[in-house]
Amino acid sequence: MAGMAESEGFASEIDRLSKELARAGSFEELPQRAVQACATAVRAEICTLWTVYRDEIEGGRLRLAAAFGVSAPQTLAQEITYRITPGAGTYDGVTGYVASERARVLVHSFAQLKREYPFCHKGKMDKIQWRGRPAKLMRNLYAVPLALGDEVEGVLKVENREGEGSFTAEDVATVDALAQLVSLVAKPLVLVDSHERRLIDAPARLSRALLRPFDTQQLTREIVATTAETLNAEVCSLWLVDATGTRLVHQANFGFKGRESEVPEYPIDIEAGNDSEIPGITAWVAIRRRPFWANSHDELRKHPSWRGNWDPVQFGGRPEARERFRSMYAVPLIWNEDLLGVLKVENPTGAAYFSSTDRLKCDLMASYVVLLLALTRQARLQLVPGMAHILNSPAAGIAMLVEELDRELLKASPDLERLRDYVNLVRRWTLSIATMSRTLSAEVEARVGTQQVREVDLIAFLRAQLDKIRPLVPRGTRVEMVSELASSLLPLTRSEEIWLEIILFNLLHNALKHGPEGEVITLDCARSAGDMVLAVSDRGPGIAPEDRPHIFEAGFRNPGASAGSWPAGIGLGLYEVRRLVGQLKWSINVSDNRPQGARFEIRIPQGWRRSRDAPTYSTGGG
Amino acid sequence: MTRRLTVLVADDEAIFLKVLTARLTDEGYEVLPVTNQDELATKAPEADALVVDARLPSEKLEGLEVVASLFQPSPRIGPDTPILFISVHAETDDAIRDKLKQLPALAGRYRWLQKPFETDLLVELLRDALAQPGEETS
Repeated sequence: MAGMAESEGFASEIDRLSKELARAGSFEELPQRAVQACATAVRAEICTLWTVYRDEIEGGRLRLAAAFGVSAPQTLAQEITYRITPGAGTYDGVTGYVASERARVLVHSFAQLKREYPFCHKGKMDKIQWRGRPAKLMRNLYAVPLALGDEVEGVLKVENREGEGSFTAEDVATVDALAQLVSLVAKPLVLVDSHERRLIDAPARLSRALLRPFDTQQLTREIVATTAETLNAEVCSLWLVDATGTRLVHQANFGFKGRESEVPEYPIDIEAGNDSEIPGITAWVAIRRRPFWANSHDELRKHPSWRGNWDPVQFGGRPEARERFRSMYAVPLIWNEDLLGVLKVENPTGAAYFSSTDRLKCDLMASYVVLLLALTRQARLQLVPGMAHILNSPAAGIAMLVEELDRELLKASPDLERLRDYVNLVRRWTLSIATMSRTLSAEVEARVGTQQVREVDLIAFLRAQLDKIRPLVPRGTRVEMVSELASSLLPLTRSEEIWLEIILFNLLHNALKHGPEGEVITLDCARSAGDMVLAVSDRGPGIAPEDRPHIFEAGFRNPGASAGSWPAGIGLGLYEVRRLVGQLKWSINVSDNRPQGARFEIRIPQGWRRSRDAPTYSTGGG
Repeated sequence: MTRRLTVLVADDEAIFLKVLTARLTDEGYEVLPVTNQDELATKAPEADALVVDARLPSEKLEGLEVVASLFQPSPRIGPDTPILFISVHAETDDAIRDKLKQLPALAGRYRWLQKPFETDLLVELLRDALAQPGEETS
């Protein structure tokens, strides 16, 4: 009889909870109504619902979805989360323990909680929920995991039964019964959260691709992967109009099954009058500038432009395509009336077709993609002419010098002094171009370089850089290396090698530019107090004390230097040197050279690479 | 005895200044090399022809502005003084076109040479522009 009365009690509570949930006017109201109904059912002063979300760094966590009777639910929601760590042995609070081990916890006092669950009580709630007096304010607690099948979706927790007593066996059974219904509320909460997270992440992921305006392959791969993930699509392909504007070329694919060589290209004939003249649906979307969708292969085939070119590539032949194709949505990518391409998704995972909401999401993704492609193109358009301008002037100077050299040589009695002067000018300007182009390409080259660390013999590396520079040094001036070390291994990534080359080129170029002609420029490499020290010294006029604080600023050009025979420069060389040295976590110092000139000293701290999670350098004797 | 004609060459890049000075001197001109806007403004009235880098200094288009200012408020160079602008940019580049639109004083008064150019062409243009009426130019 008792059992029957109990189940009748559950039925009425479940009915009450169902009615309460049915009254929810919005999705957001559901969890709040659930906790209110649960609290009422067992006369609990407090009821909280915690749902699972994925933290990118730490994995599964629980956070507050709804609270009843908590004095500061907003603070609780913002400040407290619990890690889910199955089998860990120690847990992130009782709530974390319940979710991790799918355990039920019933305690009738705070002392019992501390005594029986010492491995999970961390007092996270004490300050917020219990105002710093948990022993006095927390009387009893029952927490259950919310699970559907193998997945834990959250935790339901009731606390402080009204009146003197604690939760009874009947209360526990009621909460267990209600928890099953609440699990059905928790599940969509968890799904919507991850769905929203994907939608929110999409523009962030795509925007990150903007940092690589020259890496088109990486950019397009990012676009299709992000779109497929956001829309839950098995396949996503991106087609872009080529430079001639007459063809639609396949750029990247997610979930691609076929061979790249078999992927069709579509001519874009904007004059096509009838749809049947257009060779394929992707081309139709581009030419007609309208989206297209089909929810079965039959629907696809009915379209006048359908040729089935894509079917054998993606679905392994036409009969197979009829089986495997479920749904497709293709949208044109248009920027300011310019057609950029077509974005296409196929076969939603676990669903028969793309819903109208899915299509709206795809339109949203297409807008992001258009923005991304347009901004990338803009970045290229701005960067390339900027770089071209910086390099054009010295290049034009060299061209005119060579012409004048020719003219002088053709004279009956060439002016040898003028010839020598011109040849030296060609050397200087070529070195300036080489240095500037290296400096400007620092970002681009470094990003494509592999991040794998390899042991580089620093001494051999430095000598190789000097060999590159020597043919461009004005005749009479010498660039020498001074080192007692026979070899010195430094673990560097390819990017770091490029940065070091840029640093050296700029320092040597700077020394040559400001040192007197016919003098010696030295590159020292030595160990000092365990550190490795590289130094470039010249014998020029040195750096005026008032200029010293400014020499590493962008745009600074030394007005007092004897740079008349060198290009005016862009004032980026030493700025870039300091930036790269900082990026490497090395240091740079400038001092007076003896007897005269300037000395730029770079210090690579002992154990530098070790502190960056890689082996440190070792030096050989000399 | 005929007076040697004076050509002012304004460029902050020493290489162009050196090459053009050497070439024009070889051609019999007196050359006034200048490297900044102030010198350009001061010495321009002494010259029979101006060869000016449109960007002076290199980041800006102030070479154009200084030459335009030579006509305002009252002209400080003769109305027929030949003006040759030199630049690594084409006259049709957006930035140049926009700037020239803002300087109507220059309209119809200059020729444009894009760097690099053959110095023969510069010499030829100057010779034509500086020829006295009736004097033969080849």
